[in-house]
Amino acid sequence: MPDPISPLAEPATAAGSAVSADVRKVRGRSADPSRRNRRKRADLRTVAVLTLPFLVLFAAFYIAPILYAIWQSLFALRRSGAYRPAENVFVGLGNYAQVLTDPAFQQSLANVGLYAIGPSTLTVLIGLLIALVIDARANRLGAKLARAAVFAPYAVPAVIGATIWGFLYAPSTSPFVSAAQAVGWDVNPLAGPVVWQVGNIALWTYIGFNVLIFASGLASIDPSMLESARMDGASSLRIAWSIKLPLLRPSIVLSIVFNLIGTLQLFTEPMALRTLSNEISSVWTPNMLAYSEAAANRYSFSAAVSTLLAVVTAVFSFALLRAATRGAKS
Amino acid sequence: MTGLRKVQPANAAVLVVMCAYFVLPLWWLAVSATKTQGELVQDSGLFSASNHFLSNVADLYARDSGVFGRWLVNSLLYAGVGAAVGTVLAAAVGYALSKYRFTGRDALFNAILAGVLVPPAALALPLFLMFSRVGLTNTYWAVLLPSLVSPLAVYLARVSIDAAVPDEVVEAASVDGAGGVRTFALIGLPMMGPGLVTIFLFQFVLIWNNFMLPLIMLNDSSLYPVTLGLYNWSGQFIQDPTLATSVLVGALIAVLPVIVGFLLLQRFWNTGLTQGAVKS
Repeated sequence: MPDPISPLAEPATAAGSAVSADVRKVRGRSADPSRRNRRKRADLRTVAVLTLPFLVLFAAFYIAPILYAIWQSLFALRRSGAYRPAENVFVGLGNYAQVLTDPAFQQSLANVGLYAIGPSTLTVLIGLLIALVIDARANRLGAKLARAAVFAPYAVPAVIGATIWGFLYAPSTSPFVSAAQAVGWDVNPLAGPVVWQVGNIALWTYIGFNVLIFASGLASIDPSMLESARMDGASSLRIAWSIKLPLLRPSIVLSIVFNLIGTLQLFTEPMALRTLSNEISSVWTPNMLAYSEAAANRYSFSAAVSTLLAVVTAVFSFALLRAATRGAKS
Repeated sequence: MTGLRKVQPANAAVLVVMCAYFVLPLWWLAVSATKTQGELVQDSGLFSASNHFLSNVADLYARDSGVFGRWLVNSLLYAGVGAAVGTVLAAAVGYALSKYRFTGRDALFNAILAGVLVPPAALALPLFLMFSRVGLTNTYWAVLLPSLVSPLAVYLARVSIDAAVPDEVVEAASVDGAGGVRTFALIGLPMMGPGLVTIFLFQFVLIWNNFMLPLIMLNDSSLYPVTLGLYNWSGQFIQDPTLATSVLVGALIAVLPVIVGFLLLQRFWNTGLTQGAVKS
């Protein structure tokens, strides 16, 4: 990333334009220290006015809740006797030990683990496939329509997407189930594995977003490189595999990171599907566990789950992004 | 060219199958919105024999003394105000990061980048506990205030300003004696153009689709956004099966304008993310 040049830094590097030549001239004249200081103070004031409103909100609604959750996860309600009121006692990492050994937490982690291997990976792969196919057909009407169709579900809120699919799973209302039954295939998606009940909704909603990430990566590939490969007689399949795919590396990492964050934080789709499907437990994902524990007033346990989840998410995504930038440099 | 021709039928097949997968559920939603409760269960086809759309809509708006209209307005308020204010705030920070060199600039940018990796869902529960201490839960503010902050928007704003607003323009303005904030508002913001629209759209959709925060914060159904309202209704199917039609019609009404707006503004999404991807 090129470092941006501020008004305080060296004169503009885009030499030659009349504007920057002008600036340099004026700069030269204003070299006396008092004027420079006044300028510096004005710049500082500008930076403060521009950044403070956001920073205040960022501190209040991003940093404070994180710190608050960490703080709260270190305490627990304890009763010293049957008739005494419960007290908030410092327990150190006790809540974390409790969370990590909790069977419900372990199960929820296993669920999102399966989800990461299955639907989440598939989202990236199908997104990649569609982006490459659309790219190969670049400016045709079909490609444009396909892009619109793939992207449309992203505008559907997850709750509503889950509700639609809930109806499409239910044998009594689903045209697909009745079509399958008409040809003798007795299928009931609502009895199927929850990972795929939920995963299908997420695939439907988020593939379009991943296609968008890949499409913008493809758009930044130098066309002359593709042109010369074509001149050399490379097939479009070969071009996709040997040129486009390796150059898409940063986009692929970005897509994996987004999917990973989404998977670890899975909440809305299973919650909404629960209203229509009996297979999904109320603590199916770690986030659902945190929610139901909080609803049962066990805030410390809930805070420990939230904190753990945020830490795992941040560490994973950071490591991935780090590995990607290092890989790109070598 | 021969290779291209060979691949084409396979390509076309992939596209057709995929389009069916993405479009059919929406088509089903539109068709189902025209059916009566009885038809929904009896005739689960992809076509409708009769058209009860208008009476379904009338039923929907009449239910619970017209609360659905209220939910739509709430969603517009949360997403519209949240995204508009949030975009300007993010653009201001992005502009400062892009055009000024100040102590702590890199630290600030890194903190904001780290914020991108912290998912809002992890913040919702602690935010609820904080808000309940100051009595802000179950108010418009409980949903609106946290929605104003988006680290991703700041990142996108910085990338977009780096690309769209040349340093020389900013320098020329400051030499002409315009204040920094004035330059930002009168020159920087308009020059961002499509980038600004992209950031607004991103935030609008994220807030419109947000579920966990309102679920945790709000009790009073007159404050609900449309997502939470419909979720609550679908939780009551067992007691009242006629709710199914209302939920489906409500879902269609909530989804349609966003999809149309989305597709009309598609080029903004493309340009905005292209800038982001090139930089990252």
